[in-house]
Amino acid sequence: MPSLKAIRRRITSVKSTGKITRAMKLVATAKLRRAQERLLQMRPYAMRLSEMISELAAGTDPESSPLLATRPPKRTLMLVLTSDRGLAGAYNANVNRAAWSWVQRHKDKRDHIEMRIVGKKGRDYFKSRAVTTGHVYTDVLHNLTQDRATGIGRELVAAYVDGHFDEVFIAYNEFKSAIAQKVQVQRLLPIQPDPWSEEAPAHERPVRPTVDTIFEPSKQDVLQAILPLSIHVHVYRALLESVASEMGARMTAMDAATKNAGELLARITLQYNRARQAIITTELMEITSGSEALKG
Amino acid sequence: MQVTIVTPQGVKFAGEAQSLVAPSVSGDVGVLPGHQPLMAALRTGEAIVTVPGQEPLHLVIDGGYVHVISGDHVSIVTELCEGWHEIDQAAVKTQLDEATNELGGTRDDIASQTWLARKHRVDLATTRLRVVASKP
Repeated sequence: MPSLKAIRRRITSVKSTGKITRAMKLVATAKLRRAQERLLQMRPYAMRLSEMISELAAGTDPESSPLLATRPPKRTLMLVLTSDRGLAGAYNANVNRAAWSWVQRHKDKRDHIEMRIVGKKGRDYFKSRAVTTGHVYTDVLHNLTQDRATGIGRELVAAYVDGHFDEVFIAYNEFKSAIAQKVQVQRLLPIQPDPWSEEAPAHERPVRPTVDTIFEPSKQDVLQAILPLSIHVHVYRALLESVASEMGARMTAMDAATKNAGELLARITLQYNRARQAIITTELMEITSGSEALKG
Repeated sequence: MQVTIVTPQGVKFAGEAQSLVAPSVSGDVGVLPGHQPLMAALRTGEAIVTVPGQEPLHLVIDGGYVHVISGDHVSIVTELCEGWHEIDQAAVKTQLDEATNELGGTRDDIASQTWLARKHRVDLATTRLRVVASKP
């Protein structure tokens, strides 16, 4: 039986942990709402853009742009999106594990696989794994801007166009709801037209034109400019999904932690009261037996 | 015809319009109902949407594309879209002066990335001032 003092100390500690987890949950909830808003605002833009690309790519020879052309995959680049901070349940573990298992499955057929990582949690995970890690971007999700996403996207496109890599993949947590995230490993480059087609219900999609479309300045020019843009947007969107997922995962994890702290507190308080009662009983018995002895 | 203007920050305009003028890289493009399908790259400039029974809507557009999907569906996909009420005239004037000064010093290396970025700032500020001036 631990001493009363030890139990009291434990109660205080559990109480303050509960306070911290509750505060973290509230912060995550507020941030989640903001992240969700941004994600929602982004969707129509991403959708229109992918519509344009699928229309453009439909009648185009894939060889006309390096971003569309498929090369035999020898050298692969994988971008993993993780968070800088933990305490978000299985959020980081899931995406890291998915990326790692992808690498395990495909490394035999590739000459070289390089990981680029967003977030300290991914960096720490892959540090001890037998895989080349390239650039690590930190402090991205915390204060995500479109410029930052575009910068990362531009580096990916450059590495691909320069021929350092034959394909580029991205692994991230897709935001399903506050309590559900789904890990996605998607091919970013070469571009497969219409990657998000599942989002637009058939009746909402505009009818494909029957007349030839005019392109200004030219079809080739429009294509050359819009393809890198679509990669930047894809990366930005994946980052936004990651932010929302992180906040959702943290909210759920902290909610569970707060609940556990409450339960634990009830259990130790009971233990404390029992111990206190036991001491009182013992003391009373000592007193009564003492006075009984004096009487005799 | 149905006009939609989308940016990464959300849908900026969606509704019925009589006509649309968009700043394409090769000059302004006017779109009326029944226009042939078109896909044009845009420059930094002013777009004008005419809504029936209202003052024409002047908007700052920063790059992107105009896409006439069919005669009565037009969308503009752009990084930035602002109306006059979103622009602080005094701040933009200062920005324009700064940007113009910076641009003046680098006339030699025209078409370099820095020059283009500076030119872009001047264009953006000029367009913003034009759009503010359109305030009804």
